[in-house]
Amino acid sequence: MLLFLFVVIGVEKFSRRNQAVFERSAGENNGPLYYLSGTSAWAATLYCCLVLFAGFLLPILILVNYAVSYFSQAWNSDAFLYAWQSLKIALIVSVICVALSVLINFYQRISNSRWAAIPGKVSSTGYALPGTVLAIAVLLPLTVFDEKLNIFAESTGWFEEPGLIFSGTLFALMFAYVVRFYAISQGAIESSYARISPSLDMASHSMGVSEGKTLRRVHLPLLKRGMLTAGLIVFIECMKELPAALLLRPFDFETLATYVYQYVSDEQLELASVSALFIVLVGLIPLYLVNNTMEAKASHE
Amino acid sequence: MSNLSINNLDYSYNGKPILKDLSLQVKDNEIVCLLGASGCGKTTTLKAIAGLLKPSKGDISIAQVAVNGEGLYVPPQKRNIGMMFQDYALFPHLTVEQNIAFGLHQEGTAVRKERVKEMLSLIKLDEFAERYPHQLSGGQQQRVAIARALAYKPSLLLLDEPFSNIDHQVRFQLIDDIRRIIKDQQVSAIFVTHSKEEAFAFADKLAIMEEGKIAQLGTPEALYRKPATKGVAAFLSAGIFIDADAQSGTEFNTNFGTINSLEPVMNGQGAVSGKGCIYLKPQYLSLSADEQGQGEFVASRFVGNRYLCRVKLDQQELEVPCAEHQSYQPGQRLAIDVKPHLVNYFAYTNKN
Repeated sequence: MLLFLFVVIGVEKFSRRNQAVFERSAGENNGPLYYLSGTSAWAATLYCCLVLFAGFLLPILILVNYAVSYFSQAWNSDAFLYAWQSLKIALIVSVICVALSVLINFYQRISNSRWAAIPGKVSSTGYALPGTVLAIAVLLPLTVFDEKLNIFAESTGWFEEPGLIFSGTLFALMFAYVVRFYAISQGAIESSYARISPSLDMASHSMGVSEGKTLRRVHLPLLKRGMLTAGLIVFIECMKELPAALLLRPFDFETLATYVYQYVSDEQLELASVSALFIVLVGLIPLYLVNNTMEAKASHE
Repeated sequence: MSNLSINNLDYSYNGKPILKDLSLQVKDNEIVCLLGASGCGKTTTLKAIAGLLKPSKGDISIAQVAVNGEGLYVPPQKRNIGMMFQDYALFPHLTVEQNIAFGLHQEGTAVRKERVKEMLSLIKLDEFAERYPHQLSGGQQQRVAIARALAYKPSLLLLDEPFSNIDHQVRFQLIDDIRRIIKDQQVSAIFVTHSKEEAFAFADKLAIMEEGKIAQLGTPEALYRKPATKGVAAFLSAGIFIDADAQSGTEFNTNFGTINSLEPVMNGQGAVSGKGCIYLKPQYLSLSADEQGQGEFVASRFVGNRYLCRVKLDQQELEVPCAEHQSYQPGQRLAIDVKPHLVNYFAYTNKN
């Protein structure tokens, strides 16, 4: 099983490495725009619109249609509760991810050791794991941990047997989310940090300001935007995540994604339409943000 | 009294020695420029003084306080130094006022306000207090940087190529301004540059670095007149080396006839003698057309107030100032006359 895991990680990571290279080279390729004209222009526009229509507008319209006709049934206290729970978990996980990334990058920055880059790199590999594999990988050690803890409690009698406090609670789910989505915040914070000139640190130190205070007075204000973006994207990923949530959620617990999934697998999409729309709307935020920053960049140039 | 004292400093990076047994003394209120080609270790020296890197050996003390030595290393934030950087290093999220106040974190509000106001008027940017760094020109940013570095009255100011990002037209005005500010605040400063024009304009003394050591320390004029090594001579002016046989301290036999020195050239034992070389500076040469001459005219160019003639001499080329009316043909032979001057003579040792 573990061997299988590592193979999966390796393959997944390999494919992602190629992806990263593609994205980078695509970003640099800012040649002059080529304008189509006449029929070909219309054909291109039509084709692009078709993709947009079939891939986004049509399903959204169907969902909206369902949502309008079944609103009273679809937006009940359950849906509201699950939306609220999802939001809460996503918020906590994104705060943890951002805080961890800032700490690890800060350590990397102040350390002279060439090994300092390793924690960030290693902890980013979680993103390469498929949600299901990750869920199992999280579950195995946590179960063992729970078991040992319970045995320990039973044999010593120092405290009451706690039950499955790690594997059976939201801890497992949030832990998996942090492992899986840490890479996103790590990447965003890393690139924000890279934009802060090292001479700012030197200037700050020369003025008698310690490293910790430099973090607070110089780094954090300059990282604010990056932290916000990182947090937001992690937040949205958490809202959408399905496989790990299905496996790791506690018995009486649903996230918005698992809630929608259950209705869909029961062919009752109508009843989950509002929740589904909600996830889509939340997911549109980063698109808007990315477009905004791209446009800001373009207008700068 | 010396404000900065460095003794026998060694530093290696990845096994490659960068600083070798470097020693340097800087007096109170003195501006010393570390000058040298890139890779000679001048920025490394600056960082060692600042505490941004740990030397493998050697002592450093700032204002009579030891900051580096055997088993001693004081971190940068406890050395009470001010720094200026090539990229200004102003905090982009803070206003000019807040930038200047940054180092005054241990002072009370009243003192801080007073000092910021004082610094703002010193750099003549009073109306810019509320601006952010990106709203200022490069020269203005660098003036804010010096105000920030001096606001908390450091014992020593370190400047790392602070003028290299400034437009040439305003650079020397800024150098004058910054020099006036440093003198006004009575602080010692170490300034790193590879540009000798900046060094001449800014520093009281030059410390020329060669291969991880200070080759010579002195006023620009003293170094120019009496360079201690061939490297110093070649770095400070554009001349050529010719072989010479020292007869006495004042007479030198060369391929271009006997060259006379206005002052006897001495070494530790007295007047120099024997085989060596002379550093010929163009301003002591005069050219005249002569079929038997040893020089060959190559080309001339107009540089505003005079012409420079490029002459091939002894397999080397150098540019000699010449009068406007002289017009030689390429390939024409020229006689070289060397006026008596203070000769820069370097005896050949077994090493070279």
